[in-house]
Amino acid sequence: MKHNPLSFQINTEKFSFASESEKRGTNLMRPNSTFFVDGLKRFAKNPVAMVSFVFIFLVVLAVFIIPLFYPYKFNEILCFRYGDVLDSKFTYLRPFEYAPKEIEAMENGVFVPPHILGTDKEGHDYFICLIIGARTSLIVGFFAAIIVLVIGGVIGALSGYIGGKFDLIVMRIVDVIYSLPDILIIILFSASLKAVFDGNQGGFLSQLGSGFVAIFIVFALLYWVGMARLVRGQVLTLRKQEYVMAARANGASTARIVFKHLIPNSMSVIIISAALQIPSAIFTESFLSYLGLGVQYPTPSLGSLASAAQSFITVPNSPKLYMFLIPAITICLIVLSLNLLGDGLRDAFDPKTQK
Amino acid sequence: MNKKMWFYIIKRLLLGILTYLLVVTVTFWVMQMVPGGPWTREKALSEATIEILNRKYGLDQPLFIQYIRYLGRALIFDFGNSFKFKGREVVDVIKDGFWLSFRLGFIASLLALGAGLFLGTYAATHQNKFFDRAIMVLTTASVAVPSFVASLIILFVFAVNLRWFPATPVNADPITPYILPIIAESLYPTAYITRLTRSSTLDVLGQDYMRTAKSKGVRPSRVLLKHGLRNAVTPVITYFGPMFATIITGSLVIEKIFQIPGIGQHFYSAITVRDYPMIMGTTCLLALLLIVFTLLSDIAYKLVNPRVDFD
Repeated sequence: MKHNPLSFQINTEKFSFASESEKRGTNLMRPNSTFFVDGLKRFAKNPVAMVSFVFIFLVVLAVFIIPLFYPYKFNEILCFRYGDVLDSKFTYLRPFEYAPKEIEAMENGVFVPPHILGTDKEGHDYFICLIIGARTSLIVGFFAAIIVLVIGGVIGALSGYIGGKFDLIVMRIVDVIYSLPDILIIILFSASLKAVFDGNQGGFLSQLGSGFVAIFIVFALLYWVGMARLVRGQVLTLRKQEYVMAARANGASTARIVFKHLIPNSMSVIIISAALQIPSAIFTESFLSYLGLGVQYPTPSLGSLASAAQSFITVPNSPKLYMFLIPAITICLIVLSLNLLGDGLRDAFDPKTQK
Repeated sequence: MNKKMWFYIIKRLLLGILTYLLVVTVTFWVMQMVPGGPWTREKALSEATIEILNRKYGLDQPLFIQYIRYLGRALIFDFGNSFKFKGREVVDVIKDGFWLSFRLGFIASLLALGAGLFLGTYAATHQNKFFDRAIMVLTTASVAVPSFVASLIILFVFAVNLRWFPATPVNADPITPYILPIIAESLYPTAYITRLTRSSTLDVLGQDYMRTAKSKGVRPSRVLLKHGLRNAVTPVITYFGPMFATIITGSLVIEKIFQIPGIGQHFYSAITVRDYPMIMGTTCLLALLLIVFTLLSDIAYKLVNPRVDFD
């Protein structure tokens, strides 16, 4: 067909179908991916965070699995395996050293499992005490973080959502609690709770120990405020975001907005902040246990183990120095790797730090 | 000092008073939970004696009346006599301890400020060199060390093994026994200030006015000090105020380890011997000191930084 050069009609002969490779060029530059998968990929590329993650994973595995098959119990006084008499030969054994009665038993052909880290003052196997101590510390940290997350999350979300007078009052309460001296209140609580529990032995709470309960009470009463502020701030800023408005304008349901926009954009920040409560709670617990206000004997914690062995530090070249150093270094390593893990998670999942 | 500033100061004062009253209230009711009254002794007192004592100290009144009275006495810092130090008022016992803790904490916080600013600036200007990397690793690690572990290790290395310093205070010697506790107290703030200074200096170094100053031919050291540090120091000041308030009220753990008779040591010993007037008194007074110094540092901060808005 002859084409008039002045005609506006499109000359179809000048067009051809796009080739497959050309079609591919109009695709998105990278495969579709979700926020969570992106975050995981970023996290996996961070060697420090990965090492911390593996370390924490191994520690958690160890503290929950080793007590299942380890031949000694943490509250078992070893000499009672060989009669009803208290035997001081079982106390303060060196690593892999045996008490005379155990050597005797071995000569009779009985298998006696070695004391990998020796025994302590009461003749407990020290290795299992360490494992249970680390477990105690981790449990305290985990539950304290959960308490903070739940209380702070609910109050903060309500405060941000309801707003008005309610918000004003809650935020003033938060201000006052925020300026309370936390360490003093913690010590006050645990000292008096200890006195209360000492007077009423055998109850469930007294078995948990005053320090345990005091830490949980303090986290429930004091430390929720930081979380409440954070959640409230998240609720307030997210409600005003353009993408939330755009989603609403497109007819998205409230459920879709909440699950597709609000939760992914705020949860990471909130959960990471809660995760960083874990090392802080472990710190507090070890501090209290060091002062003798922590978990109740015979349940060990890393702080109380270090505290019990601190006298060896004033003796030059004491062979028992490891009894202080191992729990102390374990606290440091756990707290350090939890901190680094939290930072890594923040870098990977916080929408604000994405490039 | 404009109207807004006064409004801020009054608001903070009210908040401080409220916080103090809350601490006093919490101490009172927590102490009520504790079993055994103040007259519980190893040798039981007779019923009649207890009644007389109760009447004398107003303990026969209803709890609420007792609470109001206690509140009133707490406002004039009258916490009665210590159980342990017979016949001495709680406030007197605390006063001596506080003066010692204050001096140690004051030096420790100055040390932390100086060392932190220097190390942080040096690390920022030598970014990614060996020294910078070393500082980052050390400060990250030291934030994870509980203060009792750090103090005990310092004690072990320098006092027990190297014997450079005495492990406990010696009466005749006013300086050397306090060096290790001061170092122990300043470790954590030094690490924190170093990190703060480093990151804020790195921010400032990328600013246009730094390049302008350099291109005008200002000496590099002057650029760094006059233009750089001055702007980089703001987050450090924010941290320094509350840190100073915490550190001068004494550290329980460090004073216990180095056996320094400061306010923290008094608090700890009051807890171990259950000296309730002492516990209540120390909690309230320490809380008050913390509140006052935080308040002062916040106000000073606002005065120094006119750009900060008043919330």
